[in-house]
Amino acid sequence: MREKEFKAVFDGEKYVMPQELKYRVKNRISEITATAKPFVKRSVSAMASIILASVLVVTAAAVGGIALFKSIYGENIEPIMPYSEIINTKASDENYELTLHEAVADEYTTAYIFSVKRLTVGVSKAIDNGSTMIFKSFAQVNLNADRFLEYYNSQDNPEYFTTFNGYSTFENQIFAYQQLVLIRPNAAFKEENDAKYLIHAIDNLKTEDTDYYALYVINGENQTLNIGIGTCGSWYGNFSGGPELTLPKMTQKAPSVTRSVQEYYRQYLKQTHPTMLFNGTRLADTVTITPLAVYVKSTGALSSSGMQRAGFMDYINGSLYRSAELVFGDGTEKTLTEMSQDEMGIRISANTGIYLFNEVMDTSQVKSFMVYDTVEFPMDVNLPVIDRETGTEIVPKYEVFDLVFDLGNELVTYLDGMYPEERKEGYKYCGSPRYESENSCTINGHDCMITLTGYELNGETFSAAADRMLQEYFMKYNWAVSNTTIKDGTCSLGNVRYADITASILGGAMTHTHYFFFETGGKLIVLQLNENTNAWPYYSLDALLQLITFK
Amino acid sequence: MADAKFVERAYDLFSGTVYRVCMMYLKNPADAEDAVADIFLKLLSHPKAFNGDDHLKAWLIVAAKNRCKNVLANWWSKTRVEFDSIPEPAAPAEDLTVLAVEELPEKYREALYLYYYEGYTGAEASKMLAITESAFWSRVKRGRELLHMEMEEECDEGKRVQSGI
Repeated sequence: MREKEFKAVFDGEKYVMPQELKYRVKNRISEITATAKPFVKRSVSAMASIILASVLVVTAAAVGGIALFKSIYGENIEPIMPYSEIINTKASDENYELTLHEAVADEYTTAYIFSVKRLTVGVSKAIDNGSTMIFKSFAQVNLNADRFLEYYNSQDNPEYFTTFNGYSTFENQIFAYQQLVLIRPNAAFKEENDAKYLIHAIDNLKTEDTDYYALYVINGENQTLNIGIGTCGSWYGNFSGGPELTLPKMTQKAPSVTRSVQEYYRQYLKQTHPTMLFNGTRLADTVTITPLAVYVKSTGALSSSGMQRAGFMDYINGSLYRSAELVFGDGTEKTLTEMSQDEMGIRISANTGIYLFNEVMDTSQVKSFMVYDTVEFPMDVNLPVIDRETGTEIVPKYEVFDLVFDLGNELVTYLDGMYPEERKEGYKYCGSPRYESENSCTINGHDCMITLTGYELNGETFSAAADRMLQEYFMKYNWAVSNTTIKDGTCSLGNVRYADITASILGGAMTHTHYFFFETGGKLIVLQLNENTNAWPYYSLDALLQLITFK
Repeated sequence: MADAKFVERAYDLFSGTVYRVCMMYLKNPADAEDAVADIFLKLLSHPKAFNGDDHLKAWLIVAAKNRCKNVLANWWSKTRVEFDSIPEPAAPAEDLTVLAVEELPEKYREALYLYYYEGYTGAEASKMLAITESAFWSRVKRGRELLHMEMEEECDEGKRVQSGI
């Protein structure tokens, strides 16, 4: 393509603004600019006084039983009482009164209940009719009747505020869609921040002029965090500060129970549903149960497959844990989804999912954690993991399957790290190994397809097995071999034999096929690399060869 | 802060450019229309004066880029199906050149656009995209390569169809 052809695209009909559209937009802008009011940015001293006032009130906060959490968890909140606190701090301006009522925490989450009271008639009316008033966006963003909103350290807004147009003063503000804002006054919102922030409207506390919300700060906020209200117009950058409160850190944390699960999961799945191991799903390493939630943690990234994306949040609605249940000491069983708010689990980071309970859990009553209605993990780790369906104990074993699975995942990570952009181009790329058979998987990238296959050596020497298999390939694929280069070497796995074969199949064009035979732990791994047509340079081959020291 | 007259003048001068940028990202006129309106409203509250029309134009392009990326990141725009986007049966063949440019990954398309269409220098464009100049040039280079490759693939595909393979 020539330069003028490229330019012509943007001069074409599709990219030129139609005249009627130009006038229509101009009229829209004129209507709004005619009624626009200048925004007022609150001074630093005014902000400081608001925050200081709220801190002073925290100090004088009443101590006693919490009540508002009953609106979320029901009447039985005894198990969390020792780890909760009444706060009742307030901040207000002429339009709104923001009140932080109560808080409770476990090891990973602090839940706050706060309310926003509309103080003036004008504000109330505007909420009914206007398009820019406080919390209007909640109605707009309450997606699919799911009540959660996520106020997330977004990938989208930071660029806007920091790169170009002079809004760097907003760097420490974690912007909500419209007017509710979380603020880290002492640090940029992206700085060492793994926290997630979820907002949940509490409809059963709502009054004519006051809305109640639960705010969940998950994964720990390591900085001071404020919640504030401001007016924004239609753009994030116009934020002008309104009432603002500091969210206190909770020192008491509700106790949790953690169970290690991964090796049992793998053993069960490789015998029953091996494709599930390879479809991008990462198995949980641990399951942690607290009175407030179940946390599912994995060392690998939880797959986005089986997730329903809403806003910046992934609901776990099709993954492994949809069928997960808790089994109680009295014999009753409840699924995580039925126990959870919105009947959904949420992926809160690349490797953590959470189910926030709709009732407080007495963790001492939980006997075991169960998936697929059959695999039962007792919370007492001294008891065996049982497959109920067969009545057998699940005992983890490291087999050829496991070696292929682990090497496949390590290889994808390695190759993606070496050539992150190039390998992912085009439709052939797959971010995880694909299951082929009980001892084989494939790894696909833009440049090549890799097949990993594992075998037991069964007394045969590594070099004899490699030679035999090469001869078998020649026969099996009926290759007309024009050239074969074989080299021996070593890598971190052990011995390696590398064969570069140039051959014609059924009289077609000459192609290269690369074989790597690895010996590791008494097992033989065969890595076959086929170059994709017109995909040169072959980055993956280059990366593999870098792993080997040839003799 | 800008006044209404300033915004009106800016609109008259640069609405076409802003629309073009929005179309480049959003690819449908309805979303582009909303984005253009929002961007000029945003200009109304811009707190600082601009150093001339070039500065203003650059600001508008970056604001448009960021606005569009926000829209594209939004769940609604990711999951809905526009009625207009449902392909009609027996649609006429589109210009391969336009298709090739549209199928270019966003980062390459925006780099090529700023350099070849808007005529910004590497230093200017890299600042607007918040990347290093060397990264900008590598995007231009890669974008050019990809455009060339995609056109070739299209042609190859056509030849295969014609020859009945």
